[in-house]
Amino acid sequence: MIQCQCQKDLHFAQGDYLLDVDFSLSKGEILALTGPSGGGKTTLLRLLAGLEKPQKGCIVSEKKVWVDTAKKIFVSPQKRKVGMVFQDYALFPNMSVRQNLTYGLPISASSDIVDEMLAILDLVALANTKPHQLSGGQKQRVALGRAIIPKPSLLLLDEPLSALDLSFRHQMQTYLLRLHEEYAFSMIIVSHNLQEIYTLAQRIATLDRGKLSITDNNEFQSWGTVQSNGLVLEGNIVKIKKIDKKRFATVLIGENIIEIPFDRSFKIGQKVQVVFKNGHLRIGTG
Amino acid sequence: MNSDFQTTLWLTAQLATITTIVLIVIGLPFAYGLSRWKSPFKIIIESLVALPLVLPPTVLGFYLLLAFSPQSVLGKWLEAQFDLRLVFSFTGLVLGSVIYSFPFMIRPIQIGFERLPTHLWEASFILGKSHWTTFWKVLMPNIRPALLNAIVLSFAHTVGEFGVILMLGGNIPGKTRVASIAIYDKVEGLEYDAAGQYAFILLIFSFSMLLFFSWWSRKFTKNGLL
Repeated sequence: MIQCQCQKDLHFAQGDYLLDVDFSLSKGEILALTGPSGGGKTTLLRLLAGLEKPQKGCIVSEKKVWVDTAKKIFVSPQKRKVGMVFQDYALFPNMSVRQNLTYGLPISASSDIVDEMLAILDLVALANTKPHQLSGGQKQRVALGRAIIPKPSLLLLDEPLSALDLSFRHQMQTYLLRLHEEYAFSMIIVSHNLQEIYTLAQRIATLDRGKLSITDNNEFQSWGTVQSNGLVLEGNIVKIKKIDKKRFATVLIGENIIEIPFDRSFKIGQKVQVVFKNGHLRIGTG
Repeated sequence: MNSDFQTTLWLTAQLATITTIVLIVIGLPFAYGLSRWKSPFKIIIESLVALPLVLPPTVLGFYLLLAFSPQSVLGKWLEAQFDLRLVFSFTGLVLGSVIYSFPFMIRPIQIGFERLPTHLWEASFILGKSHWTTFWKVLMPNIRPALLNAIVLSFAHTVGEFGVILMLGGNIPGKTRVASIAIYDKVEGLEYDAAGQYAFILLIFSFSMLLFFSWWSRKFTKNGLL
C-alpha cells in the first residue's frame, strides 16, 4: 500500500497553481493517470520517484516513510524501490540492450533475470544492439524491462506508449500485463488513450490544475449496446461530404470514426445513433 | 636535425602534454560542477573562465609576470615556503598555460554535460546508482566526443601559445624556449630555413590534430553517442 498526500506549487505557461493530492494505491493495483497537459501528472510521478520534493506532505510505502516534510524525512530515489519508464525512454546510449538491462541489477544478484526479461520481451536477438539502432517499440520494451529488473514495488510510466502506433501499443499492453502478473508491482500509468486505460487500469485518476479525482474503471461510459434492433452505437457527426450526389456523414464513436451514407437531414455536431443490423449500417436519431 | 631543434620540440610536447593532463584533472570536476550549478552568480564564473579567450595573451602574461615575480607578495611567499620561482621557469610556463588554455578545456566539457538529457541521470538514480557511479558509467562515456574536443583544443592551443610564454618564460633554450618562440627567435636572427622547419612541423601537427578529431567525432556520431 502506498499513501501519498502532497502539496507543491506548480508553474506552467497556463498559470501557477497548487498540486494538492491525497490518495492511496493498494499493493499490485494499476492506476491510470489522465487529465489535460500541464495538470501536474509528470510532477506527481516525479514526487513519487523522489526526483522532486513536495513543499508539504508525506509519502508512505509499505510502512516505510519516503517523505515527511514535517519530520524533514526525504528518502532518495536510489532507496525507494521504484521503477520508472520515461516518455523519451532514457536508455543509456553507450550501453547495449543487455547492458542497459543489467545496469540496475545489484552486483551480487544473478543475471538470470536479465535473460528471462530478454526472452519475455522478445529482445534476445537484440541483446548486443545499441539503443540508436532500435525502433521506438524496441526501445520501449528495453526501458520497461530495465525498470522492472530491480523488482520495484511501484512502477511509474509517463505516457510510455504515446509514441507507438496502434499495433505496437496493443503488443506493449500485453507485455505490460504479463510482467505485472509475474512481478506483482503496483503501477501508475499516465495515459490519454481510453482503450489503454480500460485495458490496463483498475481505477482512473484525473489530474486537472493540480486537483485529483479518482473513479473506478467500471464507471466508464459505454459507447454501444446490443438492442432488439441490432447493435446501437452512440456518436456525433463531425463531417458531412457529398460524393456523386450521395451524402456521407463521418461519425465519431468513442475515439473512432466511421463514414456512413445517409439520405435524411443531419447537421454537423448532431448526436446520432449508428445502428448495425443484418450487415447494414444506418444513422438514426434514436 | 640538430639537438637544439629536437630539444625545443621535445619541450613543446612536454609543456602541451603536462598542461593538458593538469587541465583534465582540474577541468573535469570544475566543468561538471559548473554544468550542475544553478545560481545567478554562474555567469560571473563563466565570464572569468572565458576571459583568456578574449584577453590579449601579453596582458595575461604581464599580470602573471607581476604576480609571480620575486618582488611580489605571492612570488616572495612561494620562494620562501616552497623554494619555487615561477618566472622564467618550466613550472611557471605550465601554470601560465593552464590558465591560458582553461576555457578550451572547460567550455566543451561543460556543454557536453549540459547537453545530456536530465532523464539519463534520473534513470540511473532510480535504478539505485550513486552520483559517483552515474558520473563514471553513464555521464562520462556519453560526453566522450566533448572530452576529446576539449583535449585536442587545449593541447593544440598550448602548442601554439606565444604571448604568455614570452612574457612569463622568456626564451631560455632547453628551459622555456618552445617552438612558437623559436620561430620568432629564428626570424629575428634571419634564419628563415630553421624558422621554416618549426613552422612546417607546427602546421602539419595542427592539421593532423583537427583531421583526427573530425574523424573521431564522426565515428562517435555514427555510434549514436551525443
